[in-house]
Amino acid sequence: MNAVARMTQLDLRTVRPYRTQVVILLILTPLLAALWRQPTVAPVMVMVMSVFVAAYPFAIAEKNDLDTLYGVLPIRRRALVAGRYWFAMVLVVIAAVVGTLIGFAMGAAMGLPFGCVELGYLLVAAFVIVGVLVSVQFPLYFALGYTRARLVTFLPIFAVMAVVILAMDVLPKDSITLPSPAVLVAIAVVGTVALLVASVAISARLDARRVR
Amino acid sequence: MSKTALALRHVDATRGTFHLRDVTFDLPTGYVMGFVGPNGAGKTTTIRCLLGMLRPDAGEIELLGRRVPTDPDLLQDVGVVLDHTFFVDDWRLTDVERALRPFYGRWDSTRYRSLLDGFGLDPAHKVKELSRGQSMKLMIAVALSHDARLLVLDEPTSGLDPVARDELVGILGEFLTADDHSVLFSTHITTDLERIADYVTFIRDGQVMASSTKDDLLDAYRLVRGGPDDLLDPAAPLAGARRTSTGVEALVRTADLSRLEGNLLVEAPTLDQIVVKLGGAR
Amino acid sequence: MRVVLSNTSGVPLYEQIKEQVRTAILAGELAEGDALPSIRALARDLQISVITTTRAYADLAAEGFVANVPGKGAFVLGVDSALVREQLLRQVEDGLGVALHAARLAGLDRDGVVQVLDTLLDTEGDARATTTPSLEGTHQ
Repeated sequence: MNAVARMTQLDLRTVRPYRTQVVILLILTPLLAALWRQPTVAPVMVMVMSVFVAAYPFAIAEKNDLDTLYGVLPIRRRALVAGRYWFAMVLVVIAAVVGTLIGFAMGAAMGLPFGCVELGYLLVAAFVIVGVLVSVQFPLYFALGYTRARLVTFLPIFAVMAVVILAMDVLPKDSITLPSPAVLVAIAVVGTVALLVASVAISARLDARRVR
Repeated sequence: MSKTALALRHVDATRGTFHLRDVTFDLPTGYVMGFVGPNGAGKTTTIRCLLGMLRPDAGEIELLGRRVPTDPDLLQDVGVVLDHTFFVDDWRLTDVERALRPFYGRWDSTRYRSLLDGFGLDPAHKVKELSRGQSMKLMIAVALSHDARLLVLDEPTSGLDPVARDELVGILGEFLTADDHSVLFSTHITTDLERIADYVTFIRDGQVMASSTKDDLLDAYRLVRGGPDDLLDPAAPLAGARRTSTGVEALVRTADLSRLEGNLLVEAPTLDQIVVKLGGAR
Repeated sequence: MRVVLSNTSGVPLYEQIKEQVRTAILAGELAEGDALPSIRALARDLQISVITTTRAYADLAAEGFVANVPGKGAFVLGVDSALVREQLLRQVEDGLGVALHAARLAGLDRDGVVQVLDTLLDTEGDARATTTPSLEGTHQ
């Protein structure tokens, strides 16, 4: 196992004592989808919520002086930064799976449609949203530390939510000539990945400069 | 095996508004160095530089014979003990092992269990449930479980009762029965080190005031005591002079003894007295 | 091997160790070929620095009481080794020198000093019934 994977594993173990909280959070959230009678939205909601959980290691690290642990362990700081992003991705994937299962169960229980194609697009959209949130928030956490960054990180979340809501309302469905769905999906995924990669580099730079 | 456990040469470093200047000292392998000085003298900053957690502005640092910063694998051989734990509070002691083991090639689970047992620590307890003394023992157990050759302790005994402090001395003594094991022990409680330190480095205001074998340091100074009318000459080479109605007490370099006048009581100082008299405000 | 250190005697720790090991060897408590605790084990047991025990053992080796075998440790040498005799005779000379200085200050003449010497030897002879290496008989 390489250093980055070990750091991701460490992040998972860091969060493990709080797993009950996390599970409750991730399971209650999609119940809102039931209110909207849109079970396919469930995975999206869980995935967005997982971004909050992805910030847990920052908070726990600050409270328990894990920066010293990271300094004592035989790893490079860069591995920590990359590992944290992979930790977020692991959570997102778990959230997608859990959310999909919940949504599916919800759909079956409530007799609502659970379209796979619609689900597919929503998962991609969710990935983009999550990718943007992580890409914007993580550099702030690495640069300022959890407590100071927390005040600022809510802004991107609201901004993204606002954009999404506006987009859903404002954009008429057929007026813009969109490229074919496959291309759109490809652009979305690749773009998000590129954004994340850039974010990792920025985080690494900011983290290195921070005085601990 | 390198002959030097650690070496710093002309290290300058900045941490916030605090500066280390021209810090130079080294510790030969197999010995204990007491790193002493008043609070805020720069001990923790120096240790952070040593471990590669803080990048110095100038100078060279060597750890176990290799330049720092270097391959982080060097830290496989280094154990760190502080005055507070650096693990997730809600981890049980078994979780601590599970979390750290993947990083250390020489982690010995059996050793960890038996060390916890020997220290009277219950593996099912959470880190936050440990007392100050137990926390220290946990950090030592972790360090010994991955077969560290160099133990770096930063104020490990602050807040500990004398019994626990004595236990630490015993643990370090056992650790040092191997001649490739070394210890850097930074503290402002000098009495802990009085007996077992081989070398002493004394730091104050970010600068090293003295670094030598403990015996040489103790030989280099004398404690002089006199009556209220003695040692009044302002040019007398005294340090930390304390005057009361019944007399005066001060530290003087052994080499300067002949320059003093008066009917004085001269005796060898303790390490503590040297640190207090040299470390106090002038 | 019995080593008991005093923090308050004013005598350096390494000196105390040397003294006690020497005494033990001369009294026969440590026999030729006996292994002393390793430098590091002794430091651990007495809770003192390794440099201190190293110095004590090095001095003892220089004085001819022990031999330091690298990799194996320190071993007691035979008490009648010439080096030991020389050391001890030098101690006798030093001791007598101090005594004579004090005698001069007290105004004792040679007879007075010899009287004191005889008294001491008598009481010592009474107290010790065992055969210990004796310094009588061989003057250098």
